[in-house]
Amino acid sequence: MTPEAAVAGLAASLLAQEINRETLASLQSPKIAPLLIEIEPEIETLLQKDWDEHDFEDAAVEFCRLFILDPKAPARAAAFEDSNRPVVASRIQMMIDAGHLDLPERYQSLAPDHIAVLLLVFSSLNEEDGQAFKEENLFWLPQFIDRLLSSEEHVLYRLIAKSLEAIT
Amino acid sequence: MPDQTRRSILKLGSALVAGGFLPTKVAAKVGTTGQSLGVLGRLDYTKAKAIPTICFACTNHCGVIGWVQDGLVRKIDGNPLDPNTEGNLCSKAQGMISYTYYPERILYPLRRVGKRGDGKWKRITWEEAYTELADRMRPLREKGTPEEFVFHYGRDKTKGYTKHFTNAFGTPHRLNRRSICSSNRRAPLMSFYGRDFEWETQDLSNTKYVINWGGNPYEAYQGGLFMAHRLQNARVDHGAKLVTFEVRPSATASKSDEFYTVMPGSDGAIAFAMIHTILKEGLENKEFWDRWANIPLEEVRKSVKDYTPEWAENKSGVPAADIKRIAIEFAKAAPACCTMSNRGSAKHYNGMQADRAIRTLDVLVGNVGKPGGYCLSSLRGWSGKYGQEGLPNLKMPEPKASDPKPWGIGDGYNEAAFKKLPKKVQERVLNFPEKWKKKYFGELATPSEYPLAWHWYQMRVGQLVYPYIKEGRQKVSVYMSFTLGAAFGYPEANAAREVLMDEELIPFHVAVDIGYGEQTALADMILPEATSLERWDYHSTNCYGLVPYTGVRQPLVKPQGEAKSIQVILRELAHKIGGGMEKHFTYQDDESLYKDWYKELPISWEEFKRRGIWQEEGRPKDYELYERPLTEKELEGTNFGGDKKLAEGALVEKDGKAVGIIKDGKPVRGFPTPNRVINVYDEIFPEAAKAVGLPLTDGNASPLAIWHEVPEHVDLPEDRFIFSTFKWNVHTQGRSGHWKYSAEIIHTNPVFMHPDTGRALGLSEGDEVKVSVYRPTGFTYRSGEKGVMGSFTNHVRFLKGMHSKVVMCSHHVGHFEHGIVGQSSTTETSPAEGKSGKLSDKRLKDGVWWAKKRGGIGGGVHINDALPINPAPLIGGQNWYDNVCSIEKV
Repeated sequence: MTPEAAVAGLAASLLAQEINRETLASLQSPKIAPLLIEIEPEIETLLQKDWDEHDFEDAAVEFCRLFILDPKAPARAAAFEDSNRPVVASRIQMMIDAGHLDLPERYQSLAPDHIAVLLLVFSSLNEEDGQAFKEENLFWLPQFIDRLLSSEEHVLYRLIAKSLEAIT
Repeated sequence: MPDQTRRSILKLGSALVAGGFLPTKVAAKVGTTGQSLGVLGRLDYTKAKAIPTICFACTNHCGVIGWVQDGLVRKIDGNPLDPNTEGNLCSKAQGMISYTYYPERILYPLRRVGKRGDGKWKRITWEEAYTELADRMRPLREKGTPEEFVFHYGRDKTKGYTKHFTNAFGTPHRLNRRSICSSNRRAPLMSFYGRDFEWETQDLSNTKYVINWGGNPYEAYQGGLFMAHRLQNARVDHGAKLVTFEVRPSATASKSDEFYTVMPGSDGAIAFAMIHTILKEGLENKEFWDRWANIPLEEVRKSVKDYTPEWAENKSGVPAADIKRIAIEFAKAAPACCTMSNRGSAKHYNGMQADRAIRTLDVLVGNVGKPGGYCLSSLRGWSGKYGQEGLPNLKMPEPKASDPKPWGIGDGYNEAAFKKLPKKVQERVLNFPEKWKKKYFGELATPSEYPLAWHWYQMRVGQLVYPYIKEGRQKVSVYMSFTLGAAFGYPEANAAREVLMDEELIPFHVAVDIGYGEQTALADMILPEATSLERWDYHSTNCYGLVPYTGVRQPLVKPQGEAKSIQVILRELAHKIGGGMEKHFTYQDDESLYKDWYKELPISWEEFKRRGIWQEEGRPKDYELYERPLTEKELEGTNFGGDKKLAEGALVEKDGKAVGIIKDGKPVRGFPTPNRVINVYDEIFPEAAKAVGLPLTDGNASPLAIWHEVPEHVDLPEDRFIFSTFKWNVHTQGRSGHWKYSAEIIHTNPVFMHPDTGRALGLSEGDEVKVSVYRPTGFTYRSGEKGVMGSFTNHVRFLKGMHSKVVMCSHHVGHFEHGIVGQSSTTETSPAEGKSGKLSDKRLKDGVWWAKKRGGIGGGVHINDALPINPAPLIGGQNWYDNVCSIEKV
């Protein structure tokens, strides 16, 4: 797996649903945390503290604000694609229906053109296929990152946006 | 991106790989990026699968066929097997695709964070949702106060499943919005014909003459689609005539053979004058009247002697000569003639008596149940009630939960709940006749000031629910709203919002809905509901072909996101609450439940699903059901048969209840009224008036239909107008303002008025006006309060054909929630995580071309805050069309 694919996989899990204790523990691990702080120094405080329920709730509310209800950073290709391109959601849905994709359960309720689904698929493909997949389906990633950076009010999501820049 | 940052990210990736923090691997086949599979194109009928189901885009519930391709519903067609639609379809059906794939649809359980109404939410799991909800509801049952759980629905077509839940829980509070819609017109029908006939079924295919009082079946009417094409066929095929009395040129009025603009609230005057004319001309069907009406014809003749066509012209504005001519033509067409009326005539202070007068016309000419006439279908025959015999007995198969106890004093009553009611209410109820005491379940379900809202069955008075909660008539601990839009669509919707915002009055509000509307925005928890394209429902309704049928709503696709059908939600919640509730919910999946529900159908389940509709071939039409002789089985245990003889007109009784009547010496079924005849005269009205203190001089108290004016319309000043509302053919109340297909066609609601009215006010088309509405003055809620009750600003459009004293807006649009389409906003595109594969959100955003920011006309004005709560006396139906207003140019 390439480093880009690994980062895509991490971002997929953080964009699929709200951060939980298990994911936080991964981020706070001694090998990972310093690298995250290199990418976004302001994440340090969050990574070094013990999260209580309020911290998780703050992140969950931000997740909902950014991605779910009246989302400020819509996490779907449909929000960015134009009529000159094939519809991403349809293509992914066809792949799922044709048995070419078998998504984990937590991804199954997401839209087929959801960023988390696309990043997860990208992270699972070999480099050559991954590149083709990215061009076809993640062409909107730069716009999404811009939207996320201009909308986020929580450093965790700024970190995710910045991490995704490596994939563009 | 700075190189340093990029290096850090790549280091992160390497560390993730080295540290074993690998993402879940997707089983994605190498080389299958999707390109080779091509791109979805147009609907391909050779690939798409056609699945029949039942539409849910309005109240008609038409049989439809959904075309499913690539996992998406792509198109809706009519189902030619549906005997009501006969394959016809209206534009609203495509709205199901809009709301199923609406990018802003709610797809996950959500929990409020921060203050109610602030719009801050977090996603929760179903398990978390059920646990919290059950933890709040369970103690209510355990401490014996289940009535503190209130279930309030907007449109529930589960055919008893939600009631099954509230019964199993033990609360009588399964509230609806019947009074907002049609209770004023249902009550006269049930008074005339009995509980089983709250809606008529005119035989329009065979009719020769229809008089329509303010009904609009060509555009929006319960049964409208079923009626419109039959009526058109009858007009083309054999020259049937349609006469309409309306305050505006509706689609139906415009297509009628004759259309008369009338003063609002004067429909009854015209009907009375027609009765007068028919009797004067000797055109009545005396034989039918004497056989089936419960009052001598001479009594009616006396009561209408002063209701001359000239008198009616003075009230309505319709020329006396025309009233007279139409009455004669109508009577001469009998029995192949029928009346038609709905909210136009009924949603007035005098609407109940107006509809009783209109109903009297049908009895007078003897068209009831006759070919081409005013028929009553086997709507409820399916569950063994009045209708044709031999129909399959289709019943929900879950173990039945008993009804809650009525509230009162004594054995068999819920004394604890009753004693918490205000003393004045207790006194009123204790003075009720016995028959009502057993039907009383507190002020929300059975408001004591409106006994005819629950005398026949619980129609309730939905618009008073929030004021009553505010007054403290009922403590609420958990409030569940289900596809309800009271915070937008009820009169004085701001009063509803005020109560919904008050955490002392409503400590916990869970909303079950598809979209994020004004009601859900004021919830504490939102549960995402499956749409009609994703769920099961039992379906039956009256058949305008007059041959009973049934259909099934079945899922075409899986629910999006984590949405679930209301049946699944309630079932899983019941199991979570436990305490015995779970015993009433034994089915694990919906298809098994519905398969058993329909198990008595004489076709296989698979065949029924394939057809979507079942109707027995060769079954006769529902003509003259009342003349059918009682069978030997029906006579068993009655007071007739063998040595037991009965006189002509005597009741055939079983266990103290009338099951038939003697006609021509033989026992026949008669009508499903207590006396088995048609109750043109009904003491229930003065009885109810006495019980609630309505003066017997009020027209609503009369046992025989009489004319009385809408109080606030009497001596209407020159500078006051009557404000009315109407429906468009592409919309369905406030539910459809965010459906893209519908909103593209109609997205504004200008103030319509006659050009002469506008000119007299110094207005030009497009001018902004302020419409100020006043409270009513009759025997009703907050009657007579002075000053402006509410106002709104909107632009004017002139429309010839309007009554000069009427101004009107439609009530569908002007949302302040419901996303970019509902709000006609393009400032924020907001696609939630919906599988809107074919609805590109960018295109959706770009597609709101009528938004003001794109130079369009905007999305209309919300008017319901300015319309007063105005329940009709005794029944409680909202008098939507009585509002008096003033107009000033802005």
